[in-house]
Amino acid sequence: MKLSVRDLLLFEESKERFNYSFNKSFLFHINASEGKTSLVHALIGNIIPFEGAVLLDERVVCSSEMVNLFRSNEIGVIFNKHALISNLTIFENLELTLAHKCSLMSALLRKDLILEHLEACALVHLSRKRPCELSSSQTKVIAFMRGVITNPKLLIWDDPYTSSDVTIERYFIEEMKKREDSGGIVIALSSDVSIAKKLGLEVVPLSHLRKSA
Amino acid sequence: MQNEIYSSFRLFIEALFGDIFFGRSTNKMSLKVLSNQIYFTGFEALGVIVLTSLALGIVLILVGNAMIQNLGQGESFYKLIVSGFITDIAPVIISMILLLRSGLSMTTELGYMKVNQEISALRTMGVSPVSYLISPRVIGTVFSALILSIYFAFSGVVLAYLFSSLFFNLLYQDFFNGVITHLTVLDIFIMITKVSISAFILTVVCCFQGLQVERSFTEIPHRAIKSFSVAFFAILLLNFTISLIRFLL
Repeated sequence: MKLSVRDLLLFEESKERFNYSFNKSFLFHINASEGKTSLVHALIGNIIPFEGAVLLDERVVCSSEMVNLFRSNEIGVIFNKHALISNLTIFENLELTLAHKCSLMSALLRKDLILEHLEACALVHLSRKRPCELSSSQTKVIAFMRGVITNPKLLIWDDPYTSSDVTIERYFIEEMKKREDSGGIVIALSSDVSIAKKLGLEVVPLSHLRKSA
Repeated sequence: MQNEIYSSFRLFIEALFGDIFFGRSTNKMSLKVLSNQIYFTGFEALGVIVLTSLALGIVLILVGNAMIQNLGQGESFYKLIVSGFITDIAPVIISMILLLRSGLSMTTELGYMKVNQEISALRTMGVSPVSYLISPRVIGTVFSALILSIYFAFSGVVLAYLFSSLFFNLLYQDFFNGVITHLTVLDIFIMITKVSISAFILTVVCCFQGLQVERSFTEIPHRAIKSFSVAFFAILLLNFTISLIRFLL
Protein backbone atom coordinates (compact mmCIF):
# COMPACT_ATOMS: atom_id res chain seq x y z
CA MET A 1 0.00 0.00 0.00
CA LYS A 2 1.57 3.28 -1.10
CA LEU A 3 0.02 6.65 -0.53
CA SER A 4 1.40 9.61 -2.40
CA VAL A 5 0.44 13.23 -2.76
CA ARG A 6 1.37 14.90 -6.04
CA ASP A 7 1.54 18.69 -6.44
CA LEU A 8 -1.25 19.10 -3.94
CA LEU A 9 -2.63 22.61 -3.51
CA LEU A 10 -5.35 22.06 -0.94
CA PHE A 11 -6.86 25.56 -1.09
CA GLU A 12 -6.78 28.38 -3.57
CA GLU A 13 -4.93 30.58 -1.06
CA SER A 14 -2.24 27.94 -0.37
CA LYS A 15 1.09 28.89 -1.88
CA GLU A 16 3.30 25.85 -1.46
CA ARG A 17 2.63 22.71 -3.39
CA PHE A 18 2.74 19.55 -1.37
CA ASN A 19 4.52 16.46 -2.71
CA TYR A 20 4.96 13.31 -0.65
CA SER A 21 5.21 9.61 -1.07
CA PHE A 22 4.71 7.28 1.86
CA ASN A 23 4.97 3.59 2.29
CA LYS A 24 5.44 3.47 6.05
CA SER A 25 3.67 4.83 9.13
CA PHE A 26 4.18 8.44 10.16
CA LEU A 27 2.57 11.42 11.88
CA PHE A 28 1.98 14.69 10.07
CA HIS A 29 2.63 17.53 12.43
CA ILE A 30 0.34 20.35 11.36
CA ASN A 31 -0.36 23.38 13.49
CA ALA A 32 -3.91 24.04 14.66
CA SER A 33 -6.21 25.69 12.07
CA GLU A 34 -3.79 24.99 9.23
CA GLY A 35 -5.98 22.54 7.35
CA LYS A 36 -5.39 19.25 9.18
CA THR A 37 -8.96 17.97 8.91
CA SER A 38 -9.24 19.28 5.34
CA LEU A 39 -6.16 17.22 4.43
CA VAL A 40 -7.81 14.12 5.96
CA HIS A 41 -10.90 14.73 3.83
CA ALA A 42 -8.71 15.22 0.73
CA LEU A 43 -6.88 11.96 1.49
CA ILE A 44 -10.14 10.02 1.66
CA GLY A 45 -11.68 11.72 -1.36
CA ASN A 46 -14.34 13.70 0.51
CA ILE A 47 -13.07 17.01 -0.83
CA ILE A 48 -11.40 17.67 -4.15
CA PRO A 49 -8.17 19.65 -3.72
CA PHE A 50 -7.83 22.94 -5.57
CA GLU A 51 -5.00 21.46 -7.64
CA GLY A 52 -2.95 18.27 -7.68
CA ALA A 53 -3.94 14.76 -6.68
CA VAL A 54 -3.83 12.18 -3.94
CA LEU A 55 -2.79 8.76 -5.22
CA LEU A 56 -3.25 5.43 -3.53
CA ASP A 57 -1.19 2.71 -5.20
CA GLU A 58 -1.02 5.01 -8.23
CA ARG A 59 -4.83 5.28 -8.40
CA VAL A 60 -6.20 8.80 -8.14
CA VAL A 61 -8.30 9.15 -5.03
CA CYS A 62 -11.73 10.40 -5.95
CA SER A 63 -15.14 9.84 -4.37
CA SER A 64 -16.44 7.09 -6.65
CA GLU A 65 -13.24 5.07 -6.50
CA MET A 66 -12.89 5.55 -2.75
CA VAL A 67 -16.19 3.79 -1.98
CA ASN A 68 -14.78 0.64 -3.59
CA LEU A 69 -11.51 1.03 -1.71
CA PHE A 70 -13.38 1.42 1.56
CA ARG A 71 -15.57 -1.58 0.73
CA SER A 72 -12.55 -3.66 -0.14
CA ASN A 73 -11.36 -2.98 3.38
CA GLU A 74 -8.17 -1.18 2.37
CA ILE A 75 -8.72 2.00 4.37
CA GLY A 76 -9.90 2.74 7.89
CA VAL A 77 -10.48 6.27 9.10
CA ILE A 78 -10.70 7.68 12.61
CA PHE A 79 -12.22 11.16 12.56
CA ASN A 80 -11.40 13.92 15.01
CA LYS A 81 -15.09 14.33 15.86
CA HIS A 82 -15.31 10.53 16.27
CA ALA A 83 -18.41 10.48 14.04
CA LEU A 84 -20.16 7.50 15.59
CA ILE A 85 -23.59 7.04 13.99
CA SER A 86 -25.78 8.67 16.61
CA ASN A 87 -28.97 6.63 16.16
CA LEU A 88 -27.18 3.28 16.37
CA THR A 89 -25.90 1.51 19.46
CA ILE A 90 -22.17 0.93 19.93
CA PHE A 91 -22.59 -2.70 18.87
CA GLU A 92 -24.51 -1.63 15.74
CA ASN A 93 -21.88 1.00 14.91
CA LEU A 94 -19.20 -1.68 14.90
CA GLU A 95 -21.45 -4.20 13.16
CA LEU A 96 -22.32 -1.77 10.36
CA THR A 97 -18.61 -1.42 9.53
CA LEU A 98 -18.12 -5.19 9.52
CA ALA A 99 -21.34 -5.86 7.61
CA HIS A 100 -20.16 -3.81 4.65
CA LYS A 101 -16.42 -4.37 4.76
CA CYS A 102 -16.40 -8.03 5.73
CA SER A 103 -19.65 -9.07 4.10
CA LEU A 104 -18.60 -12.72 3.87
CA MET A 105 -18.17 -12.95 7.64
CA SER A 106 -21.09 -14.65 9.39
CA ALA A 107 -23.21 -12.73 11.91
CA LEU A 108 -21.92 -14.94 14.71
CA LEU A 109 -18.28 -14.28 13.82
CA ARG A 110 -19.00 -10.57 13.59
CA LYS A 111 -20.55 -10.64 17.05
CA ASP A 112 -17.55 -12.53 18.48
CA LEU A 113 -15.10 -10.10 16.90
CA ILE A 114 -16.97 -7.08 18.27
CA LEU A 115 -17.14 -8.58 21.76
CA GLU A 116 -13.46 -9.47 21.58
CA HIS A 117 -12.54 -5.85 20.87
CA LEU A 118 -14.91 -4.52 23.52
CA GLU A 119 -13.55 -6.99 26.07
CA ALA A 120 -9.99 -5.92 25.29
CA CYS A 121 -10.92 -2.45 26.53
CA ALA A 122 -13.27 -3.68 29.28
CA LEU A 123 -16.15 -1.88 27.57
CA VAL A 124 -18.59 -4.76 26.89
CA HIS A 125 -21.17 -3.06 29.10
CA LEU A 126 -21.39 -0.23 26.55
CA SER A 127 -22.47 -2.44 23.64
CA ARG A 128 -26.19 -1.59 23.91
CA LYS A 129 -25.64 2.10 24.65
CA ARG A 130 -25.88 4.92 22.13
CA PRO A 131 -22.97 7.30 21.43
CA CYS A 132 -24.68 10.15 23.32
CA GLU A 133 -24.61 8.04 26.50
CA LEU A 134 -20.83 7.64 26.39
CA SER A 135 -18.17 9.80 28.00
CA SER A 136 -15.72 11.62 25.76
CA SER A 137 -12.92 9.12 26.41
CA GLN A 138 -15.23 6.13 25.80
CA THR A 139 -16.34 7.70 22.51
CA LYS A 140 -12.69 8.05 21.44
CA VAL A 141 -11.99 4.39 22.16
CA ILE A 142 -15.06 3.21 20.24
CA ALA A 143 -14.14 5.48 17.29
CA PHE A 144 -10.65 3.95 17.29
CA MET A 145 -12.16 0.48 17.54
CA ARG A 146 -14.40 1.16 14.53
CA GLY A 147 -11.37 2.27 12.52
CA VAL A 148 -9.29 -0.84 13.27
CA ILE A 149 -11.86 -3.62 13.71
CA THR A 150 -11.72 -4.62 10.03
CA ASN A 151 -7.92 -4.66 10.11
CA PRO A 152 -7.44 -2.19 7.20
CA LYS A 153 -4.17 -1.89 5.29
CA LEU A 154 -4.16 1.88 5.66
CA LEU A 155 -5.35 3.65 8.79
CA ILE A 156 -5.85 7.43 8.65
CA TRP A 157 -6.12 8.92 12.11
CA ASP A 158 -7.13 12.56 12.55
CA ASP A 159 -6.00 13.95 15.92
CA PRO A 160 -4.68 10.75 17.50
CA TYR A 161 -4.95 10.28 21.24
CA THR A 162 -3.73 7.99 23.96
CA SER A 163 -5.36 7.04 27.21
CA SER A 164 -4.35 7.19 30.85
CA ASP A 165 -6.23 3.92 31.38
CA VAL A 166 -3.69 1.09 31.24
CA THR A 167 -6.10 -1.41 29.60
CA ILE A 168 -7.04 0.99 26.84
CA GLU A 169 -3.45 2.15 26.36
CA ARG A 170 -2.41 -1.48 25.90
CA TYR A 171 -5.24 -1.97 23.37
CA PHE A 172 -4.08 1.08 21.36
CA ILE A 173 -0.45 -0.11 21.31
CA GLU A 174 -1.40 -3.68 20.38
CA GLU A 175 -3.59 -2.50 17.51
CA MET A 176 -0.85 -0.19 16.22
CA LYS A 177 1.61 -3.07 16.38
CA LYS A 178 -0.83 -5.29 14.47
CA ARG A 179 -0.86 -2.75 11.62
CA GLU A 180 2.95 -2.76 11.56
CA ASP A 181 3.19 -6.58 11.63
CA SER A 182 0.69 -7.00 8.80
CA GLY A 183 2.56 -4.53 6.59
CA GLY A 184 -0.14 -1.89 6.94
CA ILE A 185 0.54 1.79 7.45
CA VAL A 186 -0.83 4.41 9.81
CA ILE A 187 -1.06 8.06 8.81
CA ALA A 188 -1.79 10.23 11.81
CA LEU A 189 -2.35 13.99 11.68
CA SER A 190 -1.89 16.06 14.80
CA SER A 191 -0.86 19.43 16.13
CA ASP A 192 0.64 17.69 19.18
CA VAL A 193 4.04 16.30 18.29
CA SER A 194 4.44 14.49 21.62
CA ILE A 195 1.75 11.98 20.64
CA ALA A 196 4.07 10.57 17.95
CA LYS A 197 6.51 9.27 20.55
CA LYS A 198 3.73 7.58 22.51
CA LEU A 199 2.44 5.87 19.38
CA GLY A 200 5.90 5.13 18.01
CA LEU A 201 5.44 7.12 14.81
CA GLU A 202 7.91 9.11 12.74
CA VAL A 203 7.10 12.84 12.59
CA VAL A 204 6.76 14.75 9.33
CA PRO A 205 6.29 18.49 9.84
CA LEU A 206 3.88 20.11 7.45
CA SER A 207 2.98 23.78 7.21
CA HIS A 208 1.41 26.36 4.91
CA LEU A 209 -1.43 24.04 3.92
CA ARG A 210 -4.02 26.73 4.33
CA LYS A 211 -2.26 30.10 4.28
CA SER A 212 0.36 31.34 1.88
CA ALA A 213 3.92 31.41 3.26
CA MET B 1 -27.32 27.15 -8.64
CA GLN B 2 -26.85 25.00 -11.78
CA ASN B 3 -24.64 22.66 -9.80
CA GLU B 4 -27.27 22.43 -7.04
CA ILE B 5 -30.00 21.57 -9.55
CA TYR B 6 -27.74 18.94 -11.13
CA SER B 7 -26.87 17.40 -7.73
CA SER B 8 -30.52 17.42 -6.70
CA PHE B 9 -31.49 15.72 -9.96
CA ARG B 10 -28.74 13.11 -9.59
CA LEU B 11 -29.83 12.35 -6.02
CA PHE B 12 -33.42 12.08 -7.25
CA ILE B 13 -32.51 9.60 -10.00
CA GLU B 14 -30.18 7.63 -7.74
CA ALA B 15 -32.85 7.34 -5.04
CA LEU B 16 -35.45 6.30 -7.59
CA PHE B 17 -33.58 3.89 -9.84
CA GLY B 18 -30.41 2.93 -8.02
CA ASP B 19 -31.88 1.89 -4.74
CA ILE B 20 -35.60 1.43 -4.90
CA PHE B 21 -36.06 -0.55 -8.08
CA PHE B 22 -32.80 -2.47 -7.90
CA GLY B 23 -33.16 -3.14 -4.16
CA ARG B 24 -29.61 -2.32 -3.16
CA SER B 25 -30.70 -1.10 0.26
CA THR B 26 -32.04 -4.36 1.60
CA ASN B 27 -29.63 -4.96 4.43
CA LYS B 28 -30.61 -5.22 8.08
CA MET B 29 -29.62 -1.69 9.09
CA SER B 30 -31.46 -0.11 6.15
CA LEU B 31 -34.54 -2.10 7.06
CA LYS B 32 -34.28 -0.68 10.57
CA VAL B 33 -34.19 2.87 9.16
CA LEU B 34 -37.15 1.97 6.93
CA SER B 35 -39.25 0.54 9.79
CA ASN B 36 -38.43 3.55 12.00
CA GLN B 37 -39.48 5.87 9.18
CA ILE B 38 -42.79 4.04 8.67
CA TYR B 39 -43.46 4.02 12.43
CA PHE B 40 -42.65 7.72 12.83
CA THR B 41 -44.38 8.91 9.66
CA GLY B 42 -47.19 6.42 9.16
CA PHE B 43 -48.17 5.43 12.68
CA GLU B 44 -47.30 8.31 15.00
CA ALA B 45 -49.01 10.82 12.67
CA LEU B 46 -52.34 9.01 13.01
CA GLY B 47 -53.67 11.38 15.70
CA VAL B 48 -52.79 14.50 13.71
CA ILE B 49 -54.37 13.03 10.58
CA VAL B 50 -57.65 12.13 12.35
CA LEU B 51 -57.85 15.57 13.99
CA THR B 52 -57.17 17.32 10.68
CA SER B 53 -59.75 15.25 8.84
CA LEU B 54 -62.25 16.04 11.61
CA ALA B 55 -61.57 19.77 11.22
CA LEU B 56 -61.87 19.52 7.44
CA GLY B 57 -65.07 17.47 7.79
CA ILE B 58 -66.67 20.14 9.99
CA VAL B 59 -65.65 22.90 7.58
CA LEU B 60 -66.98 20.98 4.57
CA ILE B 61 -70.30 20.25 6.25
CA LEU B 62 -70.71 23.87 7.35
CA VAL B 63 -69.74 25.22 3.93
CA GLY B 64 -71.87 22.55 2.29
CA ASN B 65 -74.83 23.56 4.43
CA ALA B 66 -74.37 27.21 3.58
CA MET B 67 -74.01 26.52 -0.15
CA ILE B 68 -76.43 23.69 -0.68
CA GLN B 69 -79.94 24.16 0.63
CA ASN B 70 -81.00 20.54 1.05
CA LEU B 71 -77.93 18.97 2.52
CA GLY B 72 -77.53 15.36 1.50
CA GLN B 73 -79.90 15.72 -1.40
CA GLY B 74 -77.83 17.60 -3.93
CA GLU B 75 -75.05 15.99 -5.96
CA SER B 76 -72.72 18.90 -5.22
CA PHE B 77 -72.55 17.87 -1.58
CA TYR B 78 -71.08 14.45 -2.42
CA LYS B 79 -68.74 15.97 -4.98
CA LEU B 80 -67.54 18.25 -2.18
CA ILE B 81 -66.93 15.25 0.10
CA VAL B 82 -65.01 13.33 -2.61
CA SER B 83 -63.02 16.41 -3.59
CA GLY B 84 -62.25 17.26 0.06
CA PHE B 85 -61.29 13.86 1.41
CA ILE B 86 -59.97 12.11 -1.65
CA THR B 87 -58.91 13.99 -4.75
CA ASP B 88 -58.05 17.63 -4.10
CA ILE B 89 -57.72 18.87 -0.53
CA ALA B 90 -56.58 15.65 1.20
CA PRO B 91 -53.36 15.10 -0.83
CA VAL B 92 -52.25 18.69 -0.14
CA ILE B 93 -53.01 18.43 3.60
CA ILE B 94 -51.32 15.02 3.93
CA SER B 95 -48.24 16.25 2.07
CA MET B 96 -48.06 19.36 4.27
CA ILE B 97 -48.31 17.25 7.44
CA LEU B 98 -45.56 14.96 6.10
CA LEU B 99 -43.41 17.95 5.17
CA LEU B 100 -43.78 19.60 8.56
CA ARG B 101 -43.51 16.45 10.67
CA SER B 102 -41.08 14.25 8.77
CA GLY B 103 -39.48 16.34 6.01
CA LEU B 104 -38.04 19.00 8.28
CA SER B 105 -36.86 16.41 10.80
CA MET B 106 -35.03 14.63 7.96
CA THR B 107 -33.26 17.87 7.01
CA THR B 108 -32.32 18.47 10.64
CA GLU B 109 -31.15 14.90 11.26
CA LEU B 110 -29.08 14.65 8.09
CA GLY B 111 -27.65 18.14 8.66
CA TYR B 112 -26.62 17.14 12.17
CA MET B 113 -25.06 13.94 10.83
CA LYS B 114 -23.16 15.91 8.18
CA VAL B 115 -21.73 18.39 10.71
CA ASN B 116 -20.81 15.51 13.00
CA GLN B 117 -18.90 13.85 10.10
CA GLU B 118 -21.24 10.84 10.32
CA ILE B 119 -21.90 10.93 6.57
CA SER B 120 -18.15 10.85 5.86
CA ALA B 121 -17.84 8.04 8.40
CA LEU B 122 -20.51 6.05 6.57
CA ARG B 123 -18.58 6.37 3.31
CA THR B 124 -15.39 5.21 4.98
CA MET B 125 -17.32 2.23 6.35
CA GLY B 126 -18.17 1.32 2.75
CA VAL B 127 -21.80 2.33 3.23
CA SER B 128 -23.44 4.44 0.57
CA PRO B 129 -25.28 7.30 2.35
CA VAL B 130 -27.95 7.14 -0.38
CA SER B 131 -28.62 3.43 0.20
CA TYR B 132 -28.47 3.66 3.97
CA LEU B 133 -30.02 7.04 4.73
CA ILE B 134 -32.07 8.25 1.78
CA SER B 135 -33.65 5.23 0.08
CA PRO B 136 -35.28 3.85 3.27
CA ARG B 137 -36.62 7.33 4.00
CA VAL B 138 -38.02 7.71 0.48
CA ILE B 139 -39.64 4.25 0.52
CA GLY B 140 -40.89 4.72 4.11
CA THR B 141 -42.37 8.15 3.47
CA VAL B 142 -44.13 7.15 0.23
CA PHE B 143 -45.55 4.03 1.89
CA SER B 144 -46.60 6.01 4.98
CA ALA B 145 -48.19 8.68 2.80
CA LEU B 146 -50.39 6.04 1.20
CA ILE B 147 -51.37 4.66 4.63
CA LEU B 148 -52.14 8.18 5.86
CA SER B 149 -54.33 8.80 2.80
CA ILE B 150 -56.43 5.79 3.72
CA TYR B 151 -56.68 7.00 7.35
CA PHE B 152 -57.57 10.47 6.20
CA ALA B 153 -60.19 9.45 3.64
CA PHE B 154 -61.79 6.86 5.91
CA SER B 155 -61.87 8.94 9.09
CA GLY B 156 -62.89 12.06 7.16
CA VAL B 157 -65.88 10.44 5.46
CA VAL B 158 -67.02 8.72 8.68
CA LEU B 159 -66.67 11.91 10.74
CA ALA B 160 -68.43 13.93 8.03
CA TYR B 161 -71.32 11.45 8.16
CA LEU B 162 -71.49 11.56 11.98
CA PHE B 163 -71.45 15.35 11.98
CA SER B 164 -74.08 15.70 9.25
CA SER B 165 -76.35 13.04 10.77
CA LEU B 166 -76.09 14.70 14.17
CA PHE B 167 -77.01 18.17 12.96
CA PHE B 168 -78.94 17.57 9.74
CA ASN B 169 -80.51 14.11 10.30
CA LEU B 170 -78.89 12.64 7.22
CA LEU B 171 -79.52 8.89 6.85
CA TYR B 172 -76.58 6.47 6.89
CA GLN B 173 -77.65 4.77 3.66
CA ASP B 174 -78.24 8.01 1.76
CA PHE B 175 -74.89 9.43 2.78
CA PHE B 176 -72.71 6.43 1.94
CA ASN B 177 -74.63 5.61 -1.24
CA GLY B 178 -74.12 9.19 -2.35
CA VAL B 179 -70.37 9.09 -1.62
CA ILE B 180 -69.87 5.71 -3.34
CA THR B 181 -71.87 6.83 -6.40
CA HIS B 182 -69.68 9.91 -6.84
CA LEU B 183 -66.40 8.14 -6.14
CA THR B 184 -64.68 6.74 -9.23
CA VAL B 185 -61.54 4.64 -9.74
CA LEU B 186 -59.97 7.72 -11.35
CA ASP B 187 -60.49 9.69 -8.09
CA ILE B 188 -58.59 7.02 -6.14
CA PHE B 189 -55.86 6.87 -8.79
CA ILE B 190 -55.48 10.66 -8.66
CA MET B 191 -55.19 10.60 -4.88
CA ILE B 192 -52.56 7.84 -4.93
CA THR B 193 -50.59 9.62 -7.66
CA LYS B 194 -50.66 13.01 -5.94
CA VAL B 195 -49.80 11.67 -2.50
CA SER B 196 -47.02 9.31 -3.58
CA ILE B 197 -45.29 11.77 -5.93
CA SER B 198 -45.58 14.57 -3.34
CA ALA B 199 -44.09 12.29 -0.65
CA PHE B 200 -41.25 11.30 -2.97
CA ILE B 201 -40.45 14.89 -3.90
CA LEU B 202 -40.60 16.23 -0.34
CA THR B 203 -38.32 13.45 0.95
CA VAL B 204 -35.73 13.93 -1.78
CA VAL B 205 -35.78 17.73 -1.36
CA CYS B 206 -35.50 17.55 2.45
CA CYS B 207 -32.74 14.90 2.37
CA PHE B 208 -30.84 16.84 -0.28
CA GLN B 209 -31.01 20.06 1.75
CA GLY B 210 -29.88 18.19 4.87
CA LEU B 211 -26.85 16.85 3.01
CA GLN B 212 -26.00 20.39 1.82
CA VAL B 213 -25.12 21.45 5.39
CA GLU B 214 -21.34 21.87 5.52
CA ARG B 215 -19.60 22.67 8.78
CA SER B 216 -21.81 24.50 11.24
CA PHE B 217 -24.97 23.62 13.18
CA THR B 218 -26.26 27.13 12.44
CA GLU B 219 -26.66 26.11 8.78
CA ILE B 220 -29.30 23.55 9.73
CA PRO B 221 -32.22 25.98 10.32
CA HIS B 222 -31.41 27.78 7.05
CA ARG B 223 -31.48 24.48 5.17
CA ALA B 224 -34.73 23.52 6.93
CA ILE B 225 -36.33 26.78 5.77
CA LYS B 226 -35.07 26.17 2.24
CA SER B 227 -36.40 22.61 2.19
CA PHE B 228 -39.78 23.84 3.37
CA SER B 229 -39.95 26.57 0.71
CA VAL B 230 -38.85 24.32 -2.17
CA ALA B 231 -40.95 21.30 -1.16
CA PHE B 232 -44.03 23.46 -0.38
CA PHE B 233 -43.88 25.08 -3.81
CA ALA B 234 -43.27 21.73 -5.54
CA ILE B 235 -46.21 20.06 -3.74
CA LEU B 236 -48.62 22.89 -4.60
CA LEU B 237 -47.45 22.96 -8.21
CA LEU B 238 -47.80 19.19 -8.59
CA ASN B 239 -51.28 19.08 -7.05
CA PHE B 240 -52.43 22.06 -9.08
CA THR B 241 -51.06 20.56 -12.32
CA ILE B 242 -52.73 17.16 -11.82
CA SER B 243 -56.04 18.80 -10.86
CA LEU B 244 -55.83 21.07 -13.91
CA ILE B 245 -55.11 18.14 -16.25
CA ARG B 246 -58.10 16.28 -14.85
CA PHE B 247 -60.32 19.35 -15.21
CA LEU B 248 -59.21 19.91 -18.82
CA LEU B 249 -59.73 16.24 -19.72
